[in-house]
Amino acid sequence: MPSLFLSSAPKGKRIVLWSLITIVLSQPALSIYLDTRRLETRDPLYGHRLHHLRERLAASPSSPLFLIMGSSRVKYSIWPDAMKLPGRENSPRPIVYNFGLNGMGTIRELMHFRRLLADGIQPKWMLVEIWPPLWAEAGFFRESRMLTGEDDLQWRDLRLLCRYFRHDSDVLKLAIQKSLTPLRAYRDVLLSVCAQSLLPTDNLREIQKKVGDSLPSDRGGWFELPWELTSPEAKLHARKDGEEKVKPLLQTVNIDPRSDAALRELLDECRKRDIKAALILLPEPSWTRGWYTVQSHAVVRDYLTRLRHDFPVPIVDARAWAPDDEFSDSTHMGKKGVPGFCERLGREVVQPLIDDRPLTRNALFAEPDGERPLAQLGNEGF
Amino acid sequence: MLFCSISFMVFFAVLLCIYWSLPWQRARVWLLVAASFYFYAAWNKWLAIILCISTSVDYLLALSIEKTQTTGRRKLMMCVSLFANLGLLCYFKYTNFFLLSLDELLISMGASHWFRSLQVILPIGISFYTFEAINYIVDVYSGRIRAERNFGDFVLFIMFFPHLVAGPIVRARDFLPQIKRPKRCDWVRMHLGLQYFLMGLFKKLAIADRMAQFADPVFDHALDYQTPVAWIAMFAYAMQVYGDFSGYTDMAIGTAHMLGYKLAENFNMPFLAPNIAEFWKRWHMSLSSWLRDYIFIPLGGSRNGEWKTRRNLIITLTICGLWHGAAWQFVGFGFLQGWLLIVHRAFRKWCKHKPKLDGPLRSPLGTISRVTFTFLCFCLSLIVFRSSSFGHAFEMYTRLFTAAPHALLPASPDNLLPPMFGFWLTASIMLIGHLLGRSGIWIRPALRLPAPMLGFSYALLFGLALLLEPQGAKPFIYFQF
Repeated sequence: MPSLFLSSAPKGKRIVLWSLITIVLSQPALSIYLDTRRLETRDPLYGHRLHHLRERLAASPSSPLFLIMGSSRVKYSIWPDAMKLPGRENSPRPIVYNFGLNGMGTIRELMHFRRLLADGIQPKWMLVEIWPPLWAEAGFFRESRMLTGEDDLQWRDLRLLCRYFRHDSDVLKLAIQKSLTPLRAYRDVLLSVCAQSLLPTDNLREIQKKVGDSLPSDRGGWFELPWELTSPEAKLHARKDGEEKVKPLLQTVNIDPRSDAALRELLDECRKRDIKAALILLPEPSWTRGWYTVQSHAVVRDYLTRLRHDFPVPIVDARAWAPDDEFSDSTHMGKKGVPGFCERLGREVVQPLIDDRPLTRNALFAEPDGERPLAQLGNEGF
Repeated sequence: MLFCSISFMVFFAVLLCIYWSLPWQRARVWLLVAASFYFYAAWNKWLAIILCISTSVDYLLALSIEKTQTTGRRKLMMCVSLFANLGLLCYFKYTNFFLLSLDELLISMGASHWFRSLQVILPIGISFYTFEAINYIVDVYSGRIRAERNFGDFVLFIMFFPHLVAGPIVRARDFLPQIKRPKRCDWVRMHLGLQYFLMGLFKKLAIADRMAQFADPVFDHALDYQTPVAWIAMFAYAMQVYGDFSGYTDMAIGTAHMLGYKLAENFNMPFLAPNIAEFWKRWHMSLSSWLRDYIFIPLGGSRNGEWKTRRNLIITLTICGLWHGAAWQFVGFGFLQGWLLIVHRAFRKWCKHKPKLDGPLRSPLGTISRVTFTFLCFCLSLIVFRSSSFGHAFEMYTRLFTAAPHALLPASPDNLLPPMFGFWLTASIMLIGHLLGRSGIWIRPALRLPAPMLGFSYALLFGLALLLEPQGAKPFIYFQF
C-alpha cells in the first residue's frame, strides 16, 4: 500500500503513544476550553443568557441582583422593566433579571442556579417558579427530555446529574459523551463557527435559531412570546394540546422525590448563602385551574405546607392574577397581559421582598378553607 | 457496533490491552473468539448462535472430507456443506427475492397473489462468511489445504471480528497459518494498524458520509433536480461507495494488524484504473479473486474460446451482482459489468491491430482519458446499483441526459442538499489523496518528522474525521450484503 509507511519499532511506539495521548487528551481539553472560553458556542441557551446577565451587571456594578428562575412561563411572562419599581435614596436600584428557560423544572433550576453561582453570579433575592406538572418528572414535562434535548451538559453538571439521574442512564450517558467527545457532540456548532459552508442549510438554520432563541428581547432577560395565538381556532387547538399534555398532570399531581429533593436543595443553598428566596405559582387561565381536582389540590396544598414548614419562604399564588383573554394558550400569557401582570408582581411581590416587607395576604398561597395563608405576611426565616 | 462508533473504540481498546497482556497464545485465540462472538451478538445474539452452529458443521464436514478416501463420499460431504452454507444464505437473503419475483411473474400471467414475503432478518455479513466457509471446504476437498484440526482456530478464521461483517473475504490458506504463528506486540505493526484505521475512519466519516448528503436526496427524487445536480449526485455516490467500503476495509485491516494478523488488501485506488478489467482487479479485490477462483475458472475461464469466455464473464459478474443484494437491480448491475468487460476485451483485441490508435491511448494524455472514461462508465453503471428499482434508475438516467429548467438548482431554498462547497472540497481531498498515495512523494518527508509531530498529525486526522462527519453516522453500505 503506497499511501502508508513503516517506521522502526522504537519510533513506531513513540508515534502510537503520542497519537493516542493527543487523541485522548485533546477531547477533554476541548471540552474544558468550550466550557470556560466559548460557553456561547457550546451551550447557547445558558451561555448567551449568562453573557447578557453579566453585561447587565457590569453596567451597574453596585446594584444587587434579583433573579427570577423558572420555565418558559417565566421566560415569556415576566418583564422586569414593566414592574416599574421605584428607586430608593442612598441605595442602588436592584437589577431584576428573568432567567427563565423552556421546560425548566426544579432539577434544572438547581443545575442552572449552581452554574450561575460557579460563574460568579451572586443574587441577593430569588423568585423561583413552582408548577405541579413539572414535579412529576413524567410525561411531556419530564426534565430528562429537556436535559437531553435542550441543554448542553457540562463537566460541572456531572456530579449533580449523577445524584438525580443515577437510574436514568440516557441522561448520564449523554452528559459523559458530550463531555468526553465534544468534537463529535458539538460538530455542527464548531463547523458553524469555522466552516459554515460545510453545514447543511437546515442544520445551520437550526443553530442560528437556537442562538436567536437564547437572546432575550430586552435587558431584563424577558422574551416576547414567539407563538402569540390570536385566532379562536388556534386558541382552541392550543387548549386541546394543553388538555393532552397538562391536564393529566394537574388532575393527578405526583411529586417525584427527585423534584422535591432538588427544590429543597435549592432552598437550602439559598439559606446558606443568605439569598432571600420566594416561590411562585404563575398565572393560569380559568380552564387550566379547573383541571385541578379536589385531590390534586390537596396534594399541592399538603406539599407546600410541608415545604413551608421546612423552609419558611413566601409562596406566592398568582394563578388567578390574569383574565382568560390575556392567555395565548393553556399555560402561557400573551404579550397583552404581561405588562399588567408584571406591574402587580412588582408591586405586591418583588418590591416587598426587596424592602424586606411582608407580602400581602392576597399574594400568598392560601388554604382553601380560609386558614392562615402560607408564609403569612412575613419573610420570617430570612 | 460500527467501527467508527465510540462504543467500538472502547471495546477495541479494552480488548487490545487484555490481548497483549495475556502470555498464552491459546488464551489469545479464545479471547478473540469470545470478542468476535460478542461483536456479532451485540447486533443479534440468535444469529450469532446460528453462525456458530454453521461454523461447527463446516469444521466437522471438512475433517470428514479429509478422512474419507472414497471420492464419491468426499464429493457428497462437500455438497452437503455447500448446500448448508448456500441454503442459509438463500434462506436469509434470497427467499423473499425469489418468492416475490415468482409472485410477480404469476401475477403478470393473470394469477392472483400466491406468495407472501417472509419476516426474515438479514444477518449482517452473511455473504462474506458464507464465501469464506465455501472457499475453505472447496480447498480441503481439492487438497489445496489440510482440514483444520483445532476447533478454536477454525472458529476464529470464520468469526474474526475485523473481517466478519464486511470482509475482506479471507482465504483459509492465508489466515489459518497466521493463527498458529507465535505473536508478540510489535510496534511497527501497531503503527501500521493505526495508520490504516485512521485512514479508514477518515474515508468513512469525512468522505463517504459527507458525499451521501449530495447523493441521497437526488437519488430519492431524481426528477426534482436539474441535470448538473444529477451528475454531481452520481459522482458523489461513486465516491461514497468507495469511501464507505474501502474505509471499512482499511479499519478492518488496521484492527487486524494491531492484533497481529494480516488481512488481504481489498482496494488499490480503483478510480485510477485505465480500463474496466483493471478496475475489477483493484475494486473489492478479495471478492474479485474469489469469483475468479471459484466461479470463473471452474466454468472454464478464458481457455475455451471467445464465446465461452464471454459467457463465463457474464455468468460470473451477474453472480457478483446478485451477491451484492437480493434485487433485480443488483443482478442488472452485475450483468452490466459483465458486458463492460466483454466490450473492453473486444476493444482491446481490436486496438492491437491499430497501432495508430493504441499508441496515443497508451500515452500519458491517453491514459488520463482512459482513466476518466473508465470512471465515468463505472459511475453510470452504479446508478442501477444505487436505485431502489429500475424505474428509479431510468428516472436518474433521464435527468442526467435531459435538461429540466424548472427543477431545483443547488442554491434553491427548497433544496435538501448542503452547500456545494462541501462536495468540491471532499472531491478535491479524494483526488489529492489518490495522487499523493500513488506517487508516494510524501513518505520520505513524513519519515523525517519527529514522532510527536507525526502523533499530533494522526490525532489531527482523527479530529478532522470526527469534525467533518455529518450529523449521525450512516451504517456501512456493505453491511447489507
